[in-house]
Amino acid sequence: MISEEALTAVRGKSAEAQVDSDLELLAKVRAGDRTAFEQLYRHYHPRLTRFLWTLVRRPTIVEEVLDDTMMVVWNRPDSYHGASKLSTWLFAIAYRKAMRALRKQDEAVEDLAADRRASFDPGPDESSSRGRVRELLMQAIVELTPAHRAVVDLTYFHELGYREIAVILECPVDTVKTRMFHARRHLRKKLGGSLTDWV
Amino acid sequence: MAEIIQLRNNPHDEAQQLLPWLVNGSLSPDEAERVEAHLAVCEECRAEVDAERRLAAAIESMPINSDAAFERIERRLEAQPQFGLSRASGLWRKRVPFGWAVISPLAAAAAVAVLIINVPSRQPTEPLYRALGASEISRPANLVVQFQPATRLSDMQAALQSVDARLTDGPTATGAYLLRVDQSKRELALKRLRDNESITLAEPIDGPTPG
Repeated sequence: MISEEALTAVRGKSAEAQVDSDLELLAKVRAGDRTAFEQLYRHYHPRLTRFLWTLVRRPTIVEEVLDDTMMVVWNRPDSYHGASKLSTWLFAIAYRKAMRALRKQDEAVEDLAADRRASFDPGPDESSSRGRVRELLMQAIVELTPAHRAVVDLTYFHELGYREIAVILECPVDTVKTRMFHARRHLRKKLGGSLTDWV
Repeated sequence: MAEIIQLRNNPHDEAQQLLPWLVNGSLSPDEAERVEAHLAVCEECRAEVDAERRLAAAIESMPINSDAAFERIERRLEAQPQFGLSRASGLWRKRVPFGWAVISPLAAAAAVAVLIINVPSRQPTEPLYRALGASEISRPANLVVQFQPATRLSDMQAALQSVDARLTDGPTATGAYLLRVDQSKRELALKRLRDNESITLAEPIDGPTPG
């Protein structure tokens, strides 16, 4: 199960140490070490789940794409050439698979209300103004295209740089900047002054 | 939504574009220095940074939605009388050498859920919680396995024969098979099945078993 603590721990870990650890684990995976694979799976499951959830917003697709992505690690570890961080490579695979899965769906009949129902489940303490802001924010994010949602999530939540995001989304860096510019404008417009009290 | 916008190549526009990555700390030192130098002289951009920080914090604080989905499924499994409570949660929490990694906990739990639904479906009037060891079912399954999707039939047969397993049900919608092996040899059978590269999941089913 995913917890905020786990995610905080993931983000808080030294990026450099993580890269070393990833490469060591991948080397073991290449040699058929299932425990190493499990460690990679456990490490990336929360991050990929978060990313894919923002992107596709359908539990079944999230699970399918996540497992398909990790199976690439197990079945074809040699397709990672070390040109980027392992995390970048994984996010890129997940992004491609998610976009393919989305294309299979009929976007024209996308039920945005259902997305919101499925994705925002206010807890008992969410009747506060923060809860309302989160709901507004969720609605505004749902209105973005998947490509814009991906940039928003990778920037704000995963705290990646725009160059790394461009590698993941396989697009020019200017496209990342432009998507972010539009996305921020949209979110801020939808939220109006409701973020004034935030932080 | 338009993909390309033209921004003039000046410090203000550059800062406006890069603020999200200034806030998340991912800019290169040169870029951060340029943007901060501009912030020092631009009140509009300083206000923008403030708004950006609030937006980033709000987004970061949003619930991890998949958690809620996982918990919903888990609650449904737990709500299943007997089977759901013992077997599903056991499979959920127990480390399966390879199956856990290949099939996510959710998928594994879902597979069990399908099994739960499928087993009693032959007798729809029977209560779901009837014990497997009841007399009508004299040889209940005591193992569940899943094969790699590309596994050949001959390899599946060989895998089952290698542990003297009998197929009692399946494939289910998730491709799982229920097997029966001699109870005294079950642990050995499990070990062999788990060592088989064609098998992604092999788990005991711990229902009441007849002598």
